[in-house]
Amino acid sequence: MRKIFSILIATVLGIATSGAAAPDREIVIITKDGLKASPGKREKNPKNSHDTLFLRSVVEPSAQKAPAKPAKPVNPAPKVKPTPAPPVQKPLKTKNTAIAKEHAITIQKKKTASRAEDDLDEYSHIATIADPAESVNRGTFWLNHQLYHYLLRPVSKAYEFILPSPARTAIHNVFDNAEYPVRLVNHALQFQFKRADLETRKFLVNSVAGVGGIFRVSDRIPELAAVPSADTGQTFAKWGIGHGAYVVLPVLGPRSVRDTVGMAGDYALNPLTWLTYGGLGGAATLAISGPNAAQSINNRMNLYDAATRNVIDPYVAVRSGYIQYREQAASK
Amino acid sequence: MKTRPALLVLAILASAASSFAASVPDAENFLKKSVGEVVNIAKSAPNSNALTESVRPVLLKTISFDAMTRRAVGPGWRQFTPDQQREATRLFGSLIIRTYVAKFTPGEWPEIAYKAATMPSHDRVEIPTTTLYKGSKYNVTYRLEEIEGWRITDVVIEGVSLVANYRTQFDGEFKQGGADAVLNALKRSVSTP
Repeated sequence: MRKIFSILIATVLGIATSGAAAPDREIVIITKDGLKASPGKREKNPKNSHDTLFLRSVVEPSAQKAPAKPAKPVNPAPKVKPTPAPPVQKPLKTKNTAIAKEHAITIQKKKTASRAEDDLDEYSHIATIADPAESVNRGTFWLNHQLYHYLLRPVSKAYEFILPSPARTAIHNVFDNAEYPVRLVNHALQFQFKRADLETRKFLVNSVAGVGGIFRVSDRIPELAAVPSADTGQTFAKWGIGHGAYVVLPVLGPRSVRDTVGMAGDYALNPLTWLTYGGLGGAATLAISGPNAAQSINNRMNLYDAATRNVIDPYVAVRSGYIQYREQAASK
Repeated sequence: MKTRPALLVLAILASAASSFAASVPDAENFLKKSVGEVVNIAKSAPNSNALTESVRPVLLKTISFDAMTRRAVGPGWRQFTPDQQREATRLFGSLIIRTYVAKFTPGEWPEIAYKAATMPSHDRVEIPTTTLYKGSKYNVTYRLEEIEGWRITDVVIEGVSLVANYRTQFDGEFKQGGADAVLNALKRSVSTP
C-alpha cells in the first residue's frame, strides 16, 4: 500500500513539475497506435491531434525497473508434454520410422474413435450452484422479467435514442473510472499489489490525459489495457468463501449469497455512493448518478437479452451463465 | 531389440509435435478466414433478415452442429433414435445461427484481436480473442476440432460456454420427459421469434 501511495504522490508531484523541469526522455507520447518516445525537441501537437504527452514513469512501470522483457512471440513454441506411450501392440518387425509413423497415425485414429463415444459427457464438469429456493427465485425472475420488459426496456431504448453511441461510451467510461477505489481496495485485499499499482496508473492516465475519464487513454498502453477487474465478491472467493445459495434479487437479478454480501462492500467503496452521504441534495445526486443508472440499465438490458433469447429455459440459462461468469472472474 | 520400441515412441512423439506445429496455424487461418467472411457480410447486410440468410451458409461450413448438439444433450443422446438425433441437430443448428446473428447489428462489426492459441489435445485448438464491439471489450474463446477439417465446436464468451449453457437447460428437459421433451422444447424455442 505504501508503494502505491508513494507512486501516487510522486506522480502528482511529477505532473505538477513536468512542464518546466522534466527532461524529454521522461515524457512519452500516447498515440492512437500505442506509445512513442518523445522527440528530443519539444514540439506542439498538430491541431486536432489525439496524441497525449504523459510521464513515462506512469505509463511504463517497467521503465523504472529492469529493462523491458523481449516481446512474447505471437505463437509461442508449443510445449509438447511427453505423454507416456499408449499401450501399443508390439510391432512384429518395425524396419524403419515410416512404418512406425503409420502405427502412430492408426493409434491416434483409434483414440479419436473411442473418444467420440464418451465425448457426450464432455460438459459434465460445468460450474453449478445450489438453488434450494428455486420456486421463489423463479417467481422473482418472472417479476423482474415483467419489470425489464415493460419499464426498463423503454428507458433503455429512449436512452439509446437520445444519446449517440460515443456519448454512451463516454458516460460509461467516466463512471467506470470513478469506481477506481472499488478495484484498488479489492486488488489490495486479494494481495494483488502489482494490479493495484497498474490500476492506479490507469486511473491517473485516464483522469488526466483522458479528461476526467471520458476517454480510456489507458487502452492504448499495452500494460494498462487489460488489468483484470476486481470486486468484493471476487475477494471473498479468493479468501475461500463458497458461493452459498443462488438468489434472484428483485430488480437487480441473479446473485449468489456471497456476491450479495460483496455487492454491499462495492457499494460502500464506490465514491458515487459517498455523494449521497456527503451532504449533496437529492437533485444533485440524481443529476450525477442518473446517467449512470440509465447506462447501467442499458448494459443490463443488452446482457439480459443476450442471455434469454433463443434459449430453452431462460431461468436456467441465466443461472448457468451467471455462475460460469463468476467462476471465471474469480479465477483471474 | 530394446531400441526398436524406443524408436517407435520417438516417432510417435515426433509426429505429435509436427501435428501441433501444422495444426495450430491451420486452425487459426480457418477461424480468421471464417470470421472475416462473417464480418464482411455484417458490413454489407442491409437488415437482420438479410444478414441471417447470408451468414447461414458460412456458419454451416464453419460450425460442427453435430458435435455441439450431441454434447449439449449429454449422455441422454444415446437414447435418441437416429431420426430424433437428426431432428435435434437441425433445430439446435437453427437456434445457434439465430443466437449468433442476434449478436450483430447490421452496419456495426466487431474488431477482433487474436491471442496465442493453445492445444488441449492433438485434434483440438483453443483460440482466445479480445473482441471490441459497440465500445465494449469481450473475451471470446473459440474451441475448434479437426472433424472433416477444422470446425468450431464451442464459443466461450467471458467464461460462459455456449454448449455448457445449453447442457444445463437440456438436462432438466431430458430428466422430465426424455428425447421427446428435449425435441418439444427445441421446437418451442425455434418457433418463438
